[in-house]
Amino acid sequence: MISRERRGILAGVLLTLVNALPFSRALSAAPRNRRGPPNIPSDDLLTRIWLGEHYLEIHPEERSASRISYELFGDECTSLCNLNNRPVLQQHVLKQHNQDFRQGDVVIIDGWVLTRTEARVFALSAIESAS
Amino acid sequence: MLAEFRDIESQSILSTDICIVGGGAAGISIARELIDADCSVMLLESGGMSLNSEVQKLYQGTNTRDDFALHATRFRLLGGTTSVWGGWCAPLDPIDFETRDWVPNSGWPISYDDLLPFYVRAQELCELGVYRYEVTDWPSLAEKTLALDPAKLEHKMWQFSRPPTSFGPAYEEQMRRAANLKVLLNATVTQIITDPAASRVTAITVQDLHGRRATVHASRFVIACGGIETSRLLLASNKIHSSGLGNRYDLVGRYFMEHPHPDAGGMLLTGDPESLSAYGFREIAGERIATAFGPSPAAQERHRILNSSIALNGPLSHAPSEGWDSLIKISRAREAGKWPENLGSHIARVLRDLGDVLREGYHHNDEGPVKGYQLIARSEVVPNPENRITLSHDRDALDCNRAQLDWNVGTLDRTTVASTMILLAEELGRLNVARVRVNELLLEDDTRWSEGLSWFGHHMGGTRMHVDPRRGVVDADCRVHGISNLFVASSSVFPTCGFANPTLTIIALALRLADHVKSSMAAGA
Repeated sequence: MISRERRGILAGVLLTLVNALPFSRALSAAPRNRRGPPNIPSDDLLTRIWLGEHYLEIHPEERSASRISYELFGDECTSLCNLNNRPVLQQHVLKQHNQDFRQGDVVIIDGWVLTRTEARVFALSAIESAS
Repeated sequence: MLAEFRDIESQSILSTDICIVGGGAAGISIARELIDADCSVMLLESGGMSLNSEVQKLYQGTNTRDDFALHATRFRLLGGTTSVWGGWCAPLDPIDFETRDWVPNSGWPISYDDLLPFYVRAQELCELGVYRYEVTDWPSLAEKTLALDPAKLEHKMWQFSRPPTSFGPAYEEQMRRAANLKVLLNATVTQIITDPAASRVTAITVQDLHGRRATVHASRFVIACGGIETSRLLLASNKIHSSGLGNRYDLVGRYFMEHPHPDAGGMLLTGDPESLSAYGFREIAGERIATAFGPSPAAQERHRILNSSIALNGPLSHAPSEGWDSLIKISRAREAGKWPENLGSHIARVLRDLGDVLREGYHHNDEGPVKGYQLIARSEVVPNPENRITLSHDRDALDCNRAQLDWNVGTLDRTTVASTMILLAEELGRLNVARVRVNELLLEDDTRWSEGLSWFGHHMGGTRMHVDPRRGVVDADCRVHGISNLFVASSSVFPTCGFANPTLTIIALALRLADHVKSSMAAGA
C-alpha cells in the first residue's frame, strides 16, 4: 500500500513519461474528434470493474451489493440468490439484458451504450473488487 | 450553341425569353428541359469549360467558422460543382418535407409525393439506374439486412452516379446543338435590375474580368447560382431596395444549412461479421449503392430529433485498446487545461495496455479479420435564422461585395447524432450483432463537438421556400415572393435539409421548375 502522496508523485512521473513518448505526439496531431478504435466491455475483469466504478459514480445510491442484487432480481432476489444456481441467475440476467435493449433501458458509460442490467453486473464486480 | 462572352461586343443589350444564371447541375437541368421548347433560352455561366483561378476567386468570402474556404467548396465552370462531386444520390425522406413540431422552422410547401416524379426524372440526368432507394428494391441486399425495429431504426440508401456525372462535359454537346439555347461562358451576372416597384425583373447585368459588360433582357429569369451565391446576388441587387431583392422580410441569406459528418464512434462485432455484409458500399448488377442506418420517422418523433444516418466507415481489424482510449482522455483534458478525473486509473490502463497503445500510436493496423467498424454520421441540422449569408465590405474583382457566412451547429444537431447512435446500439445489441460506443464529444457540449467537424460542401438554405412571404423567400413554385418573373433553382430554396446529399433534390426541383416555366409560357402568363 502506498500513500496518497506517493501515488501523486508516481502519477506525475508516469504522465511526464507518457507525454514524452512518440505516440503521444501522434495523438495530438490527430483530428480533434477522431478517436482511436473503441474498446469493448469485455470479459476482462479490470474493464468490467472500470465500467462498474463509473456506473456507481453516476448512481451512488446503488453502491451496495444487496441494493444491486435487488435491482437485478427484484422480489425474486432472495430466492434466486439463495438458490446459488449459476445457470438460473445467468439466464435471468441475460433475459433482463435483452429486455433492456428492446425497451431502451440503457446507460452510457465511457461512451459505451450498456444495458442497465449489464452496468449493474459490472457495478457488482466493482463492489466485489473494492471489498 | 455555346459562345464566349468575350466574343460579344461590350455594352451589348441581349434579349432572350428565359435567362438562366448559373451553369451547374440546376441551371443545366433546366436548360436541357427547355431545348426545343417554343422559347429562346440563354444560360450564363461565370466560368468556362475548365477552371480559371482568377474567375474562381470571385467565390472568395468569409466563413466565420473558418473551417472551410467558400471558394474551395464551389466551382465556376460549366457543370459547376458536379465537376468534382462524389456522385452520392439520395432523395429526401417523406418526413423531411413535413412540419415537425419538434423541429423549428420545419415544413415544405410541397410533399415527397409532389417531388417523386421529378426525382425519377433526375435519376436519368445523373446517369443513375432505376429509382430504388428502399432495401426492398434490391432483393439480394434485402435478404442480408437486419430485421430492425421500425419503431427505432430504418435503412437509408444511396445510389451512386458513377463515374460522377460532370454536367458540363456530359451535356455540352446537347447544349451546343440546341437551336433555341445559347450558353454564354465566362459571363458573370453581377446585378439583377427591376422595375421601380421591384415587382418585375427587367434585365441583368453581365460582366467579365476584362471590363466587358452587357445587359440581358428576358421575360423570365432563373437564378441557379448555388447555396451561397444565390443569396449573395439577391442581396447585392440593392439598387431599388437597399436590403436587396426578395428581402422585404429580412429572410434572404438566412437559414443556411450544411450537413455535418461527425465521427459518431464505433462498434465491435459480437456476432457473425457476415450479419453486416449488406451495409456500406455494395456493387449489385453493375450499380454502386450504399446502405446505412437512420432513425425511423417514429423514433424521430418520439425522441424529438432530426433525421440522420449512421454508416460503417472503415473496418477495425485489430484488437481494441483501452489504454489508447485513456490516453485520448488525458490528451483531451490537457487540451482543455485540465487533468482528467481518475488520472491514476487512466495511467494504469495505459501502462497495462502499453503494447496496444504503441500500436495505435503508430497507426499500425494488423492484417486480420474484421473486429468492428468506425461509424460516421451524415445528419440534418436545424434551419436556424441566425445562420446566415450577408454581404461583407470586401469586394471582388468585379466590385461586388463578397459573401460572409455566419453560422454554427447547435444542440439538437449534436443530440440527434448521439440519440441515433444510442438507437443503433440498442438494435445491434438486441440482435447480438455488435456493441456500440458513442464518440464522447457527442455527449458533451456543443462547442467541443462542433470543432473539427467534416463538411462536404452541401450549402443549403438562404432563399427558403414557404407559401408565406413572411417566412420564405420563394413560393412553392420557386418564384421569389413579390417578383413576378424571378425564380430560384438551387439548394438555397430548401426549407430543411434532411440527411441526404442535396444534388438529386436540386435537380428534381430544377426539373419541376422547368415544367412550371414551360407551362406558364404556354399559358401566356
